[in-house]
Amino acid sequence: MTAFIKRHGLSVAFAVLSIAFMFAAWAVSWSVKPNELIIPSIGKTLLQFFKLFAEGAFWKSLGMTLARTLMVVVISFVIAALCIVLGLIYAPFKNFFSPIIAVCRTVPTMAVTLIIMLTFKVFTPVIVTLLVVFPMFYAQISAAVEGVDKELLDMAKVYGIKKRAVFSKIIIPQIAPAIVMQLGTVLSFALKLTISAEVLAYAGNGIGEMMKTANFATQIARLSALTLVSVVAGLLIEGLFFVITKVSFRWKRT
Amino acid sequence: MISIKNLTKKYQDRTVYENFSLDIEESGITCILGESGCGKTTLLNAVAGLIDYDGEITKKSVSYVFQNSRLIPNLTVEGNLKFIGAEGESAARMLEKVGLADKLNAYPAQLSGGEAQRVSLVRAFLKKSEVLLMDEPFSSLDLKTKLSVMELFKALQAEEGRGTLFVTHDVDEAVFLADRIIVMHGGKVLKDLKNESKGEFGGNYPIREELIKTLLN
Repeated sequence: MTAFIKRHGLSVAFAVLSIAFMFAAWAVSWSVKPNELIIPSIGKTLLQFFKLFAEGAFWKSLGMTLARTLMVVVISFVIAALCIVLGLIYAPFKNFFSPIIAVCRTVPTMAVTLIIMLTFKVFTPVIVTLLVVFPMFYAQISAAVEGVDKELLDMAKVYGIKKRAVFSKIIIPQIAPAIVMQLGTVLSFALKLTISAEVLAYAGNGIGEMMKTANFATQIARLSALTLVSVVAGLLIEGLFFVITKVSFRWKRT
Repeated sequence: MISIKNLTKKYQDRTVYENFSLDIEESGITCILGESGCGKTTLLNAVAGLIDYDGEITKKSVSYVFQNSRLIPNLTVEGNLKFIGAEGESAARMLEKVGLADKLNAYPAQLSGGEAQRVSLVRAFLKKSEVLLMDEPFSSLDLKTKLSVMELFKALQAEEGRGTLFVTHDVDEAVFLADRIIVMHGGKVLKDLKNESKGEFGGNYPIREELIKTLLN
């Protein structure tokens, strides 16, 4: 314990200070304009936050949002990986995908949401998040593949190693740490996007839908509590992948 | 015999070799000696089939000791040796021979430079090949480690009798190890000498004087 405090004490202290600062800013803002319709109090928000966990509908909505997010992330990853493999097998494919990636990356998310929500309705959050997350994965996996040590590949060629072994023992282990490290951030970002799209579109069940309902009913404390839920969920996801990265890839830590 | 015929290799504007020919015996230790940038590594890589070139080179199965160890960082020492097809027992035996028996489960990041290069040597000898190629394998090592790794190489090579082609810019390494020393410059052979003086490392032998004179001129 003492060793932990010595090593990480200052970092943890500053992180706690930062959280305290945010709460303090919130408290000050509320005290300047104590209007529940503009800024809810911390107390009411936290009360609503803990009340949510007793609601069955909340867990259903949370489950739906998380499921959508996970599905989109998996689909985006698979498509991005396939595109890169195609580009590796036949280089001109890279030029084919470049403009598509650029468009996906630069198109305004809100505009896309508004355009597609009338046609795709409940699938809007999935499509919107896919359009944003897919180019992120493409860039990450591309960079990771470019970063594979060419000298190791030469060594494998000289020693006559089969492609399958090169792929499983060199390429995948080399690219995995970079991708896993970013996965938490991407998932957290995808969650935020999914919720935003749920708010805008008629997506049925989801945290975004609950936020919309709370907003219409001017239940601002409940809306803030749902916002806090999405923040906490995002932080938990990032924290989980931080731990996964630390525990895995022992060879990187030696 | 490794027969190199009319080897031509260009990198963008620079011609490294033009219609270069050389015969290298498969037995014994042949050293290509030359200053940095004279094309030594290019020659080795052409023999290993790692680069494209014009001309003909006899195809041989090779093992290669690179300048840096090129051990796979996510595999243990044992994993690295099994990766090239070595069996667990023979890998363990060889590691014991080179004084690294306790490093079987270590990752490359846990090894010193000398230890990593010894593993790289073991890897090269464990692979059944016709020729052993070495690209300045001792250049990154301090003197003491260099001497111990060179002695180790000599012992393994004497035991196996595997033909070796190695490149270096270090005259003392060449004199200490090689049976035949080919001095190169600008893609051409300046001198081709038989080495009768494989004695002490850094010893004052006539061939050493001759090589230094050739390199400086």
